[in-house]
Amino acid sequence: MNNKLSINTAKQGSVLIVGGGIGGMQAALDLANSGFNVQMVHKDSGIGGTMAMLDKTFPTGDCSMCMISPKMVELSRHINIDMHTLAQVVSVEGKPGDFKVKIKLMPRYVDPEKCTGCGICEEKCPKKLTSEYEQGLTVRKAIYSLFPQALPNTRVIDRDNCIYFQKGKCKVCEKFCTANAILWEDTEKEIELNVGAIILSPGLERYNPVIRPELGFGRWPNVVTSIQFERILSASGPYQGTVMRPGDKKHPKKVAWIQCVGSRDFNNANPWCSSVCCMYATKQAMIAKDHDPDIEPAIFYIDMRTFGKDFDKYVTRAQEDYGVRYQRALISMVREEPDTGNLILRYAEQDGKLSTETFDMVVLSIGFQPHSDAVEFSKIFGIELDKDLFAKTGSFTPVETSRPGIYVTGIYQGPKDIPETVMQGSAVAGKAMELLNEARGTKARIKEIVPERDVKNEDPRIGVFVCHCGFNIAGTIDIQAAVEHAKSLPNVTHADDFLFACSKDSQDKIKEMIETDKLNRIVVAACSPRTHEVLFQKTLQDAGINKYLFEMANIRNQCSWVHSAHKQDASKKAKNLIQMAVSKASLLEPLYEQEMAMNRSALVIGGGLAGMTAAKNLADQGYHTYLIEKTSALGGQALHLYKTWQGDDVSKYVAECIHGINSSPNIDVLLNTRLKKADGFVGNFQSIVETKDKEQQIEHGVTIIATGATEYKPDQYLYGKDPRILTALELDRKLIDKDDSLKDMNTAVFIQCVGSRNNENPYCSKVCCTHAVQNAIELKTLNSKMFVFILYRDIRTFGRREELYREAREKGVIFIRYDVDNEININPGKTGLEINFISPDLQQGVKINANMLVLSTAMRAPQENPIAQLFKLPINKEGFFIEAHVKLRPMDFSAAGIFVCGLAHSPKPIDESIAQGLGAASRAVTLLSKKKAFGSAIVSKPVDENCDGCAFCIDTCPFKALTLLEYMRNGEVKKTVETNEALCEGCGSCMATCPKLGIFVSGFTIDQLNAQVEAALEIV
Amino acid sequence: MEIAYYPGCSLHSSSALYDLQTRLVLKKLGINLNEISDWNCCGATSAGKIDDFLAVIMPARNLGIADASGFSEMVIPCSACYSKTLMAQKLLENDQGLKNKINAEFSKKVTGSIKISSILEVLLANLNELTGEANKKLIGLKPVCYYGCMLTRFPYDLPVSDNVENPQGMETILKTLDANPIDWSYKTDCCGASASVNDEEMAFSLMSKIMQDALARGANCFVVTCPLCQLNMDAYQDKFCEKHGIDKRLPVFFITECVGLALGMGIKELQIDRHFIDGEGLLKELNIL
Repeated sequence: MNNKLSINTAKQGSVLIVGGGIGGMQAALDLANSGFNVQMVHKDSGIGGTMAMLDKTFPTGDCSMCMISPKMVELSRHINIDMHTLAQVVSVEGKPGDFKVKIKLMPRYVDPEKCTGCGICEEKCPKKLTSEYEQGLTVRKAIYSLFPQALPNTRVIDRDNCIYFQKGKCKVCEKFCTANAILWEDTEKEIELNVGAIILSPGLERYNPVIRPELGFGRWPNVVTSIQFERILSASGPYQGTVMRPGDKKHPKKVAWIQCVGSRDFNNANPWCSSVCCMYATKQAMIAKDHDPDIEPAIFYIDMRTFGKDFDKYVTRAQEDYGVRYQRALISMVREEPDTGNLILRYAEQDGKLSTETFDMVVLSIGFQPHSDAVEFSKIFGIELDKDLFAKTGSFTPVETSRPGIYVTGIYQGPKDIPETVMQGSAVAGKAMELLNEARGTKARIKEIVPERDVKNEDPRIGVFVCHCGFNIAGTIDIQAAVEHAKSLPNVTHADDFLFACSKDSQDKIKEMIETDKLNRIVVAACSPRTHEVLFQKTLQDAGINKYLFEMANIRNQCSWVHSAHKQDASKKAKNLIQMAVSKASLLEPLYEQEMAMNRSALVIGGGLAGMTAAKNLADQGYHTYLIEKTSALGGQALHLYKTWQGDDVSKYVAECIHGINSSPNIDVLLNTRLKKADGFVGNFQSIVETKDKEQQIEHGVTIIATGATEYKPDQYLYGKDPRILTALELDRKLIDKDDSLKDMNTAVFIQCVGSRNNENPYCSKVCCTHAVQNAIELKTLNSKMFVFILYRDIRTFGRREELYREAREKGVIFIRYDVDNEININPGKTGLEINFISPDLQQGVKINANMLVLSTAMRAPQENPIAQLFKLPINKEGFFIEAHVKLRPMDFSAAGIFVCGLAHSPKPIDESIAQGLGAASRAVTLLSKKKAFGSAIVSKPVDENCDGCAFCIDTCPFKALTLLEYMRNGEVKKTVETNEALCEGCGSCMATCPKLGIFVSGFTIDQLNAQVEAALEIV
Repeated sequence: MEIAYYPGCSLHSSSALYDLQTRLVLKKLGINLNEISDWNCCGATSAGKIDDFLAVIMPARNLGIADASGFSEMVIPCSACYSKTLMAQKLLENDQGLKNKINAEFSKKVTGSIKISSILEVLLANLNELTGEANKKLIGLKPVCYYGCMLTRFPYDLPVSDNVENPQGMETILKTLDANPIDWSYKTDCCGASASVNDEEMAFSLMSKIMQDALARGANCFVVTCPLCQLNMDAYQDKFCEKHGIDKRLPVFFITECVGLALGMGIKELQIDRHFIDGEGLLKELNIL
């Protein structure tokens, strides 16, 4: 049903997204949830991109498919998203707001309207060939889908390898297909789309190390790439999650990772850093050890680039808890031991001695590079590329290309990890929304709500679906026994099993069973409700059943994963878990979410770059925004910065930004203003702010936290005791002021990691290596004869910034490593500062006489965080805000309607702060664009008859959602409590406290919990 | 076809058999070699240890003579001579000043017009001829192809005609002749070179590693292009094997010998009997002789 808004606009209310990886998917969902139609074009037969090939993700160790498949399913069933796979853009014409795009659709040879995704064709197909998805480690068929949960799940025929197409014989797939879905006559088609904006998220290629034969890939069977190792680790991969080496399928004991393969190599490969490999190698080492405790991982590296939020802690955990060995030495050659298939590596130890060591398996940590068709691709869209064939973007415009209306996101913009890709996905959606704001809703379809079946008078009819999760569950648990047990339980009408319950065709089957068997309660025994509950609840809604008539039994994380060595006991436990879920399901009642009005304005707290970017984007989309800033000026930390790493003037941009904010009719700027009180909930926040003793109340629908961070002023290295010792920002100040004394310096020294990466502050401040290198180059440019030294622990000039590191070395900047165990001593003298330390690489003491010492100090979150307290938001030990999910929700909080961006989240450079600001605005608009907000139905409900007003629960409630009431009853004062359902988070503390059965949480009543406990204690 | 030829010092002395084989075999393929006149030592690795300029001017003189010879291509079988001459040519191409300075000393000036080829490049360019002329198949020969450290080791701006880390030139030729070359880990490793003279212990340990990998791979011979590699691995094999407890021995053939045998030439003709480690036994066993 189309929403026929009669808005006279020349702009199209739809967006084309080229590339369905996680970045493109995030952009698609944000746009589709904000009133825009999304046309997604993807080259492969199924979406998911690189993330769909990973086993687990860092730093949480979450299963990659578990995180991406709910998003893929959401995308595939979203009424505002049209997915075109096996599709490529051929031409683009038009202007921003109105593009005409021609798309070429390659033939699938299987009719998606008819195909049920049953997979029998694939099973029966006789033609086997090497699987690209499994990185050559196993085979696939000529008719296939990329992976079991692929979306769309319609198979595709590989024409070049199909026996019928090549030789005219076979057709086995057609013979076995019960849906008559094989379409031999399928042809290439061309369609034309009319869209308002185009988002490019085609990702990157992986470097192929076969061109480096000295590393042995393609020569020695037990040398694999990191992506091959992901498939080896994966339970749905070629070895079902058993770590074996391809040569002889033996279990390797000593496994070596070689970092930087294809990256940081100006001569023979790519000059940039691929940003993610240090972390993924650490992750692979730990997961491998989880699979097999006998494995001894060793990582050979140049610099350990674990600069992201909590990443250094991850490495510490790897070293201390998992015994992962980190060897700072780069391997130049991998030899094979002929009779064993083992690999011999030679490297220099820290003291210079050469060691030779034998390993059972070697993993090459390969990097990213632009697709081989990068140039043609850019020509189709008319965008400029830089010298390395990445799309050209700007320091302050990270998601904009050289062509207005065409944007980029994800690794196509530059190598980055998943959280940053997700941030950029939201950011680019925000940019598209800004452009097409007036056309919002003009092409959006409205979902027809399936009327809910009234089950009040029905006896419970429970459907139980047990998931294999490939081998994750089925490898340990007897699925058939579990299904049989389920069938024997009271009220169970139907019990079945799925290979992957989360795949789209499983959803279709569940819906079908609900309709056929008139099921009114559903139990899914699979993985964690944290990742998948919403997915299944939507399926119930689509089938006309209240979504709260659903219960999940976690027989994976809580069973097969932790009891994999005890299959019999695990199978018994699975039966108990299912019985618990079924017992509860019998007692489930339909629940309804509260609808609340949405106040369509926003409050942004913090006027730095992130806050200003968010505010401007919201304002440009027509949402009134209050921007409060505690100091007397906008600009935040950017006011102290000289240039971006690409050499752009920061102060000029900041001035433009402030001007934009001040001239926007939709933004109220309040300087010298602090937040005093925060009340309310999503759609209906009431905040009290104070400006110079004057208070005012602001009502807003969403909140964006952009409170920033500051530079640490150290108490080490004699800072403050000598004018020749500065912090990094103080040097920037001198550069901004064109301080003449700089060029006359004879020797300048930088010390990295001051106040970062230590016991009290075990985190990296991310920007300092690049900043120091950038400023070292500035000093050399002022005076090429100056001696410039950078004393470092690891040089973390990640991504494209690696070029600066090379430039600095070419200009003669000297980099010397120092050890955190050996102090650097500063001795101030008349002629200079004498800096003494021991260099572990030179194995001797170094003495430098410097005219200037620059301390690259940490970024610190504020000591006191009144904002966190007022909004009851979590902050980590270092004082940075904790987001809802590290990977997939990096700007959201668990509390609805509140978002975070910029340094308040974690240390980051300008382009990332801007991207995160745009992203937070985009996330906010998914709420602001709607007239209503929905609360949760899992809230506390007081039972007036039982409640005597003792008020114990009120003190216990962490969300201050309960209030004590009094009313007259039968001539007496009756006390009782009342719940503010919008504030209540359903934690159950009240219920646990209450001695009178006077309050319960919907969906977790005492009867329901009792039933579960009894079922848990049953002997099965 | 007529091309120029630079044998270098080794091919006129300790590796004279390589010179003989090269001439014979290329003649059979229709290529006449014209040794350039009055050539001097290329400087090899020694000149560069003394003086950078010397390391350029020594091979440059030969380049001048070659450029003046009127031929379009010059083949240099010895890896060191090939390497030094090619690098000098590239250097002079990039540095006009140096070129002028050097040419000032010569009557035959370096123009940079002649193409410097390795023995493998010439053989590969004439593979069809070889297939046509060959009348013996080298079935059963399982060589490891040992390229040595100089043949593909050049500065990164100098294009190399073969894969630098895993060269395939010899393998391609040998596979065409029905031999079965085996991949191994020491293709481009140093044999110790001239250190076999002044630091025997170190050179022997390098040679023994090469030997052990070849044996572990199941090879029955080495095939080489470099005269010093051949000399080291052949003449010292008994000594270094004894030192390192290796019982087996492997004959070390020049690529030109293999090609010659395939062309139907005999042991005496190719002077294979001049090797220290006997190769005749293997060749008779495989019916190649």
